[in-house]
Amino acid sequence: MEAKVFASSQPILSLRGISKYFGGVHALEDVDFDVYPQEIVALVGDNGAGKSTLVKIIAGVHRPTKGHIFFQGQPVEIHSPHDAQALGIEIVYQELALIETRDVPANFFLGREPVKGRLGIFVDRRKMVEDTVRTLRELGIELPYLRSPVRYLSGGQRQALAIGRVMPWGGKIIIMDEPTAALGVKESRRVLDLILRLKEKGCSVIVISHNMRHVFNVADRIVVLRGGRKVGDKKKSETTPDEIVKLIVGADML
Amino acid sequence: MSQNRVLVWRGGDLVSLLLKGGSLVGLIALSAVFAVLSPYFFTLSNWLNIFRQVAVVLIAASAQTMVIITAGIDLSVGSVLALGGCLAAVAMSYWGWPFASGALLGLFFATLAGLANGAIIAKGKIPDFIATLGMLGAVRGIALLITGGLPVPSHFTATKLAGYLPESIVWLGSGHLGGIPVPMIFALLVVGVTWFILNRTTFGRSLYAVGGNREAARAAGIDVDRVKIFVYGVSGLYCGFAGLVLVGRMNSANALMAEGLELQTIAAVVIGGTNLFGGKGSVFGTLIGAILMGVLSNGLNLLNVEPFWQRVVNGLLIVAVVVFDQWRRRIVRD
Repeated sequence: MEAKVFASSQPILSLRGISKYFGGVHALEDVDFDVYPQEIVALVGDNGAGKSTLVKIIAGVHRPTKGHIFFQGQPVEIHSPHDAQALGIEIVYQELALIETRDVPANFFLGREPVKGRLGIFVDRRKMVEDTVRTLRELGIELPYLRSPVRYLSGGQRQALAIGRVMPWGGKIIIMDEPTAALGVKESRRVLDLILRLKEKGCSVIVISHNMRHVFNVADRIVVLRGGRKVGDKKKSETTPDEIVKLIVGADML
Repeated sequence: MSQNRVLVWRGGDLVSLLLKGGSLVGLIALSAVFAVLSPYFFTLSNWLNIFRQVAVVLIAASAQTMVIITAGIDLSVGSVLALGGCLAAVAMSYWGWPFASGALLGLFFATLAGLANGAIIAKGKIPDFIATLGMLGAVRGIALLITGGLPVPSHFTATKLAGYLPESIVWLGSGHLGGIPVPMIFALLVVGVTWFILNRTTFGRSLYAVGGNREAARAAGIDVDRVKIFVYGVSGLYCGFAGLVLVGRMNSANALMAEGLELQTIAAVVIGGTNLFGGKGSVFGTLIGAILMGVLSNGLNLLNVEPFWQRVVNGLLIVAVVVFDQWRRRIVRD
């Protein structure tokens, strides 16, 4: 049935029959999950529903116990975050994974600094600063001082930086784990705008969120997990916050 | 709102700048005090003497800076220095090796000891403190075994003596180039190379990343274990160089040389503003810190303070510096 709904295009990423067991704990059970090009998918569910496990499988942090992953129709194995990055899958962790003592360009290019010279070990600092400035400008992210250690940035600025820095790598799919959880109203709005801008730029985005308003603000499709199983997969236009909340808590079973 | 942040940042930077400059201010103040108390302090020959003595500490402290930036600590620097220096001296004076090959032998095993530190820490998941403390003891023991506990070269073993130490190593430790002590030039060169590594290479950037946030570094695809092993290897190599300089300065090697070097290097690094908990620091700060330590010891000598008191002062200085570091971290964070 889903295939009919989205018949217009092929999914860029498809997970089929994914199960993940941690010892005796069934974190995920037979989950199918698709992401289409330029689509924002919200992944919702209660604590322990399996959202984080699912995105960590996509990002190469965990390996599924069962099931298959297809990227642009081709079966792939994602053994490590490095494999995921090679496919164009980037993840923005909830804890952001920034180096607090380092400045903005250093964090922007963390672990993949542009190099110059034949040896390939000398950092091209000018390129780092220029690319950082350009990307931030393209995304409409304003940061006061690039040279200040990241610890002096506000929560929203850090979040914007963490999201912005996945951009230059040609990421096709960007995963965000609770990007607005720690932010105020205004800063959340900015981050949501940023997510929409990533979509305009051709990215697909998977967003984990507990905030129904944010979900309905940006998502094209909403996937609901409960107890490790997929219990809902709805286009935003065909559902309501009430229905999603019922799916999350399992009210239909009461 | 953003205006405030600008101010907060500027404030933080001003404070950290003052605190960074603090060691320089301290150095100048200390020098002024000694200049008043001793007529010999502010002479060219005395300053060259200070630099000659500081050179060995400075080379090892440059390595310690890199290690501490990764949130590690290398307690084995003195022992590894002794191992490298003794091996080189034994090869040159007992086995008749030329300077170059003897030096390479010392450097090779010093680097190996450093890599072993890194491997134990990274692969064995042993705290840096414990691994290098063990190495401190073990490597010192090996140096004693190699030399039989005797100075090298030594007339007690004159039958085995192939010759005295070559001129080249003596030149490295106590020669002059245009009136400037060679060990000083060499140490400043090491500081320059270290600055370049820290600021201009991907490896240097990884050091800050690993020390600043290990998990984030890992998530960003940095091979944390490899960085750790490598930085301890570099530390071993630096200590090997420091060993050659020290042997050259003393025109002799012995297995117990450079005892307590770990404390001197840590003090120099922390005085220089490098964060003991990783992620932040500069080797120029360490340069100031090392000179400050050297001035203190030199000044106390000139004032005829008993050497026993110098140990007390040095020990207290290290504690005071760590207290200072904690205090500074509180200030700069707010």
